[in-house]
Order: sequence, then C-alpha cells, then structure tokens
Amino acid sequence: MGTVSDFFEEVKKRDIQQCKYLESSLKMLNPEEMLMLERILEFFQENYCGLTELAEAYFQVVDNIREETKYFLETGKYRNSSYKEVAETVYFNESYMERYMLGLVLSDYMWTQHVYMTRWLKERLVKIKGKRYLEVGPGFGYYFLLAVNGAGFEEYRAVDVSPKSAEGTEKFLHYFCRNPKAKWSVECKNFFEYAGGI
Amino acid sequence: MDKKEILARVNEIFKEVFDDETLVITEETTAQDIEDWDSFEHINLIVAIEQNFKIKFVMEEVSGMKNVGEMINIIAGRI
Repeated sequence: MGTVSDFFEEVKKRDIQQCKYLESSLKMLNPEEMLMLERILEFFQENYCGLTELAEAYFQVVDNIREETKYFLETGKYRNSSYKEVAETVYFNESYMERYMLGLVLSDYMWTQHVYMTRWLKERLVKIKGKRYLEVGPGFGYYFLLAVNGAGFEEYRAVDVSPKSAEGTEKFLHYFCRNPKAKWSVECKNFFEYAGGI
Repeated sequence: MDKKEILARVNEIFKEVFDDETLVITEETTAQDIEDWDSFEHINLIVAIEQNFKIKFVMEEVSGMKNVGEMINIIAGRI
C-alpha cells in the first residue's frame, strides 16, 4: 500500500512545479493531519485505484486549474458559462467526477490554503450546535465528515447533484465516521428541486 | 532561429514575467532555481511564450517540462 512519501515520488516523476510546492506545503501538516492523509490514501487505494492512478487524479485537478487559468488569462472569461455545460462536462461525467473528487480530497491536505480552510472549519464546527446541518455539494464528503465527527447537530444531511459525489460521500462517511450516534444521510438531488423546503 | 536565439528570447520573457532584469537562465534552469516560479507563474510564462513565439503548448507539455531546455526544444519544434 503506497504512502504519502510514495505519492510524493509519483508527483516528482511528473511535475517539477508541483514537486517544489509539495516539498514545502506538506511540511505544514501536523502529525494528526499527516496520519489522516496516510489513512485517506489507504482508503482510496483499497476502494478506488492504485497510487499511480491517484497521482493522475490529483493531476487532473492541478491540470484543470492550469488550463482554466490559462483560458481565463487569454480570453478574460470562464470556459463554462451555464449549469448545463458544467453538468455535462463535470457533474454527470462519472469517470471524470470520480478522479476529480479523489484529487480534490488530496488537495485538502496538500495545498496550503486548503489546510488553513480545513483548520478554520474544524475550529468553528466544534462550537456550533443546532437541529439540522445541511451541506450542499459535499464532493467526496471530506468537510461533511468533519461536521459529523465534530459538530453538535441532531441531524446531518448532504445533498449533491452528482451521483458519483453522493456515492463517494456515503462510502467516505461509512469508513471514517467516528460518531456512532450521529444521524447522517446523503442524497443525490438537485438542491433547487427542494420546492417544499428541506 | 536556432536554440541559442530562442534561449535569449525566452530569457527576456522570464525577466518580464518575474520582474527581474538580472535574471539569467540556462537550459538547465528549473523551477527549483527561481523562487517565485510556482504553478501560477508557470502559466503566466506559458501564455507569454505562446504569445511571443505565436505557438501553442498542449497541457501535457505545460506540466511535463522539467527545465528550460525542454521548453526550448518544444519551441524549436513549433517555429
């Protein structure tokens, strides 16, 4: 089973800018975060694909951002301008969506801004209590997991329009949830279809 | 245009993108050698080179370039 170091070696083979970036960004992870990253890599390898494919999933995210940044610099606008375009190319493109979600979860530990965002969210979540927690667009469930494990709500619900996302979030929560009393559910639905309220 | 000329022109682009008139690159220069050469500046470099040489890189080339030498080889093959 490949580790974080093995993953870093895969990145090094492919992309020197990323290699340089990860050399410093991975140093900011505390021991608990590094352990969670190792566990996530293990979970992904057990349930989705090998380490080389995971590195490719990570690079799908990196390359997409580069492509879209380049497109924006050249044209002054975003490539997709409607929900229909994004739905076709991303949300309902199952193989693309799966790789994208795997890469995005890894970026939560590999990108400095994402690490800061996660730490801020964790600190906030433990202070919040309430009746219902709703997350729209959980991706593969990483932030939803933080809420279910850390916040004080009676019920947690995640809603995602992408079938792959909904499926991935369920799997992720079943594997990593440490709060056996938490009442959580994941629904594959377009949030705007809740006409009568949630 | 030979590789030496391409390198000289690319050096000027590097100076502009990194805003450093003293910058001198060689074919062996990598992102490790220039502190500000990160993913975002790499895209700025790519766009500037494409516009300057009137060529287009494919994304595999953009992420796969290991050093300036590889960049120059691709440019030489396109012009």
